Amino acid sequence: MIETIYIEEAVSDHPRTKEILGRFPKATRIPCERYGEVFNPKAQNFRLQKQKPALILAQKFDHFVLEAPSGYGIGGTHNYYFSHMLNCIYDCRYCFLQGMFRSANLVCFVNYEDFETAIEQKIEQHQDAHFFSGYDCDSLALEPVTQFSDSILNFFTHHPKSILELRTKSIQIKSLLKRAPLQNCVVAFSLTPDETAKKLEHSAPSLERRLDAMNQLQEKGWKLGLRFDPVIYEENFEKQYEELFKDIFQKIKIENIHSVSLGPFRLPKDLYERMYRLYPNEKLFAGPLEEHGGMISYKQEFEKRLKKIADQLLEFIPKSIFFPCHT
Amino acid sequence: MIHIVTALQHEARPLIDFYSLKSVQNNPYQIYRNENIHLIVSGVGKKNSFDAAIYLHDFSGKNRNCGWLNIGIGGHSKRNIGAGALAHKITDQTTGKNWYPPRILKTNCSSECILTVEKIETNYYDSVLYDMESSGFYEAASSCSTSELVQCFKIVSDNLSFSSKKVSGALVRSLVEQNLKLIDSIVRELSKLSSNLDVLDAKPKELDQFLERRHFTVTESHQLRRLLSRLGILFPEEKWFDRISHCKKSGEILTYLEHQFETVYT
Repeated sequence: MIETIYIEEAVSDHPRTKEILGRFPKATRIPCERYGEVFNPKAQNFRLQKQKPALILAQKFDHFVLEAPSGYGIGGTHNYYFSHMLNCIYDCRYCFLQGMFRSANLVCFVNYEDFETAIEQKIEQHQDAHFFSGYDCDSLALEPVTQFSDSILNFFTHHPKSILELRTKSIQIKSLLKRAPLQNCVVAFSLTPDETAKKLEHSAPSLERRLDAMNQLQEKGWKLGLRFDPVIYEENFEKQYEELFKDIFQKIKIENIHSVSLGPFRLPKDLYERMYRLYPNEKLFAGPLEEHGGMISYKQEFEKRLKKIADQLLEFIPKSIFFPCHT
Repeated sequence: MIHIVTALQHEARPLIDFYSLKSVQNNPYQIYRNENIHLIVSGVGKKNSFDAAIYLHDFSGKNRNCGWLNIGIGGHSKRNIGAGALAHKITDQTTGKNWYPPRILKTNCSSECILTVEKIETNYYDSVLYDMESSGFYEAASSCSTSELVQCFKIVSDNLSFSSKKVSGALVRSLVEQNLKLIDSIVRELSKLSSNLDVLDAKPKELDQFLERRHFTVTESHQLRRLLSRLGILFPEEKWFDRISHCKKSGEILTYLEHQFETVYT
């Protein structure tokens, strides 16, 4: 899968770099001074690079943990996010990463311990803080390569009052199944109806496989999160969500669900413009969208229809675990 | 469209013959072309390569979706004479600046770090391919196109066992000839990617009809293009020009087209 690996000079001797390189013995290894030399140049096309993304092994120096954007929470007062990776192996057409980064290459920051130190500093200020992984990447998709979750879960074992969310579409759950479940960890799956997933979530595991992974995790005692975000407009999408909810709640027990969130497709305007330029033939971006306070989202009429979906959802779950996302 | 830059006429000749390129200009640069390829002979050195690439971009109409390929010879300590490689990293020895041509082409070609030097290297201290053009070419071409479409292909002409002093024009031609199959596979890959980008920039159907028959300001014509493009995706069978006959002014046409999106939710 990975044919090219760029290696920052600063981490060329890092044990984790060597471990990761060992998993790709045939990959071409290219040294670089800083990952930005490869990742940040202007003249890059995300869409072309997505055909064959390279892996970049790098060191992160600062901004390990950032405050989560407002409205990005599951009941906590102090919300932070961190990203041990930039970009994702999946190719979901609605994903804001396409507009955020010029490059589709996958960056992995191998100095996990520095993330943990930064998280510890936040925990010293707020023991009950919530930490979200999987904002600039998928938390688990490259787990067999990075083993980041394994490392961060060890860390959170010692901080039981703080909550860790691993946001994913992946079925790479072996490392989770091997260990005792952490009660302060939420494995949150992003879900869309099967029809939408097939059209827009290229390379991601099918809905069926995600549900199967969720089922295995709940049987082991892991807390699950359900993330219906973004909700994408399709003809008969109310019916599609009705079926999706039935499907999920036949398999997943309510008592194993930590939280549920739901929100419409929405993007900051500048990211939307870049994504539209990359995929001008994409129906999702051609549709009736409008700007509300710098965000591009569906028109007001859609919010009413979204409310109906939320009502359908609330027939299955208590309101106390429901966290709607707004534009 | 693919733009090829070579430093020497000896590098260019086998390509001119292989692609049946016709001479279209002699001064200030020799330029050859066919339907899909432009080739320019830049002269030796990174500055010449930089200038020639910029010149060719202007000469060919400034299309930003073109593929760019620098083809030339270089020295390497160990690699065999005649071995061809794409650049995966280009370093300018004088400035220390690096470029990393993205490796997305589906080709069997190997790749190397290239060190662009001011004078012919004879000691080959590092295990890299030494050349004199790549950094200049890459800097210029990647300002004219996206970097995935900009590549350098170098053929080893000299090494520790075969001095650069022995490299003749006939040998250079022969080295390029030996690598034509590989070069062609790279050209084809670049052409494919370039065409993919051209398709994305294609005008929406009916745009010309609107612009020819009704008056739009420049800003309005951009708005019209985007509206027709989006509507064409949502309603591929619809003929919009037939439906705007009742609109007298350009503003009314744009408003009418914008209103069509409302029907998507019903």
